[in-house]
Amino acid sequence: MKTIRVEVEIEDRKSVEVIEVIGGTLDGVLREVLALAQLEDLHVFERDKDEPIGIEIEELTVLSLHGHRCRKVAVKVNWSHETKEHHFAPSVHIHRVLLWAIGKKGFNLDEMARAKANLILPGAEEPLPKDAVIGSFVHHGKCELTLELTLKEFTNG
Amino acid sequence: MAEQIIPPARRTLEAQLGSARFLAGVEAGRWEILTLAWPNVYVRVIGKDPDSGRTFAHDFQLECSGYPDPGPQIERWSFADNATHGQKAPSPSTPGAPGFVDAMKEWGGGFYRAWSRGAATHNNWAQLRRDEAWHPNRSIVFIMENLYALVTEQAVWLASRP
Repeated sequence: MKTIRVEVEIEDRKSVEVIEVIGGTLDGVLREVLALAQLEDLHVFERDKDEPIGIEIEELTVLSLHGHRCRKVAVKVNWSHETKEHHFAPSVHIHRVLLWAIGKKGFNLDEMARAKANLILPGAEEPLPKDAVIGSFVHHGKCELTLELTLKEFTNG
Repeated sequence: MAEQIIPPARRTLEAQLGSARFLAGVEAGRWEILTLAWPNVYVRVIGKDPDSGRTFAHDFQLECSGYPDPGPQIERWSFADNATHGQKAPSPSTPGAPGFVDAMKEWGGGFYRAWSRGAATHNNWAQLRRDEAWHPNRSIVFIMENLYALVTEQAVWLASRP
């Protein structure tokens, strides 16, 4: 019988669990993830995808999932005394938010500025990892996240 | 017949290449292993502009002797299915996404980012940018995700051209 290996990250718990789901059905995956999370109203996404998982996952043998009670997160990005807002799925990577923030739909930075841009939590000292999911910074009950755009130099000569 | 002894570095790397997170990246079409010819791993990374869907792919050689300490030495690569597995790729023709072009430039120490072995010590880079530096508790997925982000930036840049 088919088995799907599933890596799961739940909300902002900062831990990753790996489970195996025998049968590999959508219902089976959702059941196991909900049991692991011990939550009932959870939206389950593949990493960096916009929509919750569907039957297409039954074609796969391995999954990396993020579960969150927020269906969408209102992301506010501050830069140069201006704030832009866009809604993303909680499974979206920081890098995708960065691409939006520096692009034409965001602050429309010039090319050299884009290359230096990073996102950082207010008051933090280091930029956020580009492959972190935004839901890992969002507490349940408040489906929003505020980030700062920074042009801290990343080139090295 | 004598048993083949697999170096611990290779065992560590292969375990990470078999992790759910790494394989999910393969299934999602973000990257693929072209071949593993220890201590080298040849990978293809496929970036995608999220708005237009335009993709851009590039190959890399990850030299992993001693893995995970030190981390991989990364080289831009042009893979071929032959005895040498291809050769080092030329620097990208400019213009391109500035970050991508900077990372791929010829400077004598390989791929130019804090998370590549040769560049980590250049101007104390790894100490200055600990968020981007390799350390032995990281996984090969860290390298792949950073390569994916850079290749995606080039895909976005190409999609923005008329």
